[in-house]
Amino acid sequence: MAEEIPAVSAPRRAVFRDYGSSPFALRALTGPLRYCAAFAGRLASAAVVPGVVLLGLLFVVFAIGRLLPTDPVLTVIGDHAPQELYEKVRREMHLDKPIAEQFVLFGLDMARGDFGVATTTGNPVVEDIGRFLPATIELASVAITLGVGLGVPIGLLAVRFSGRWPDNLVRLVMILGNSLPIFWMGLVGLLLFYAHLGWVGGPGRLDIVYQYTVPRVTGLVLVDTAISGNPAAFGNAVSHIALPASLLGLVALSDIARTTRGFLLWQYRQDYINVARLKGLSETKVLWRHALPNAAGPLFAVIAWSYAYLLEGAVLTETVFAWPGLGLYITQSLMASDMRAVLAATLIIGTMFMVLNMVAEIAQTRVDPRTRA
Amino acid sequence: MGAVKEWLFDNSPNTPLQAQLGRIARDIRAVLRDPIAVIGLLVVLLMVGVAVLAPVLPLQDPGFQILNDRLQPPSAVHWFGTDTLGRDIFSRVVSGAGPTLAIVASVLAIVTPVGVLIGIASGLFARLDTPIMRLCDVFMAFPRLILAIAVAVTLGPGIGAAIVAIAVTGWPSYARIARAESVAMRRSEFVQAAQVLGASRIRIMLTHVLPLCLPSAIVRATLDASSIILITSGLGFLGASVPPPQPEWGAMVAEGRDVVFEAWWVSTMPGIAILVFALGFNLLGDALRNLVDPRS
Repeated sequence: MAEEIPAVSAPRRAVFRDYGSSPFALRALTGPLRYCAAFAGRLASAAVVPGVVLLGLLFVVFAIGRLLPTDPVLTVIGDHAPQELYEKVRREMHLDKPIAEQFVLFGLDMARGDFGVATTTGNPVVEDIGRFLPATIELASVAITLGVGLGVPIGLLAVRFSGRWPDNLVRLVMILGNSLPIFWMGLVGLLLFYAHLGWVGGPGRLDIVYQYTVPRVTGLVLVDTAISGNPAAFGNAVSHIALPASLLGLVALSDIARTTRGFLLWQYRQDYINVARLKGLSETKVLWRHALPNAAGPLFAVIAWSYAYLLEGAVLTETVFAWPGLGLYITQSLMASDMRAVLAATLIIGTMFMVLNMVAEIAQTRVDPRTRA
Repeated sequence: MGAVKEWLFDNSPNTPLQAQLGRIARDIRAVLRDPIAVIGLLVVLLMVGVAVLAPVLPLQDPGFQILNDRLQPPSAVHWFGTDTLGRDIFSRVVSGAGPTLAIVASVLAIVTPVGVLIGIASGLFARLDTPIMRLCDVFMAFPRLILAIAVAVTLGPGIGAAIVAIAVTGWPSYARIARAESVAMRRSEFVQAAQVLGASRIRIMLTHVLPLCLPSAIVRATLDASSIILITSGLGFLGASVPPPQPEWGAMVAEGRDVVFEAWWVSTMPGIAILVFALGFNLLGDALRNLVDPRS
């Protein structure tokens, strides 16, 4: 790792190094400019890695699309189309070109946001994704809120009673959370809380009564129903999202609680904690002022990573709960071997995955200077 | 027995072999002292035993349909009840252990050596480091389940496709762990000493660095086993795994989905099997992790 240090921190040093030699007025003028230039440079070097990853992602997606045994032309025009039409569509899909050229054209299409038309829905794939993505984001966001809101306190509790029965209980529950097949939990949850107890709404985002009464503004049903001023619809939306979000939240919770516990326990073994205690600080202060800030970096990383994981876990959850999100879109398109829709949606989720990983890394370096490269 | 034990736990071993075996014996004893590890180990052994013995156990034929006995609740005859085609769910759950275990074992057999060796190469040889790690980034940027679905659909349903699909996305996490450990060893004195003595790079990789990377790889593999089980059954649930009528736990949960409100046992029983199997590996893995890396 040591040899990588100059590469990233050098431009930043260049910004501040000349400060002493130039007159103050000039400094005041050029300072921000130079800072911007250095920042752009840093951004560019930071963009190399995601760029490469994105290219790789694109390549794998392309390879899967080409390896598929079904003829992509036939899925568009059907089995009984005349030969001329077949040739025409084949040319339009660039399938008559050499494979390398096909890849470049595919990449350009994707970069322009031109994902083609989905055969299952008959709409452009971009429109479909715009319609399905908010539902997934809504589900994952509520789940991560639950996961962080409960997971961090549970982790703290485990640290507080480290080695005693609450700690062991938390450990067991966390292991259980990691072993649950989420699609099965969804079914059992529906059976118990919807069919038998009637505490939550069934599959879908809203009851059929409210389905078309709420104007679509953000695509997030919770927000849309809240601003539409219809409390009954909002309550209905809450009752529908409660079960899938808590199940996904449970998965996130176990990871977040475990890492909170792990990182904090590690901090508590360091000497500086003893110093803080010897100074006479209360345990609360030791935790909030010393231990927690030092564990915050990795914790942020885990939270961002869990969020990315939730987007993926949503595939199964959405199938069980008939939640009209990207996951459901992917599986339904796959079963209809509508590869254009699948590839585009995979690319979107992959990109979000990557962005969240970057956010995790940035958050970590912001909070913890030691991890700066 | 007593003499063997004394020989194993001898504090001044006479041969390298005795020292090695003694160390392994001590590790095993440490694992067996943790009740959580023992429970996990027992569950895993039970499931493996069931999977291996399924063909010789006196069970009803898992594919035998009695349409008159459709959706029978659990009883003395059908311990887990019957499904929509009147097949005995207990025997289907038992014979479903085989495919799941086969997928887990094959994926681990591919992913662990490949991932660890790639990771060590990346950690030891600076020139390989960046390309390998970027490759890992690409595969880690992929949502694992979605890629698995795509590969399974591309290759057509079947155990082989499921194995390839899960393995493709599985190796980078091993590579990352092994890289992080071997990077720290690159400039350590024992590696330098081996270089000075003229050991080849391959020899340093395999005999000096690899053994030190193994414990965390084993922990990772144990924990990974449970997530492989969950992905496999997820694939089965979506209909992208073993083709019917062969029993597969995830597919069985999916079969019971339409009748879940009338006949809860059809989906519930195979789901419990998935849960118990995954839980066993997780308990064992968690206990092993506490031994290897007390930090988490």
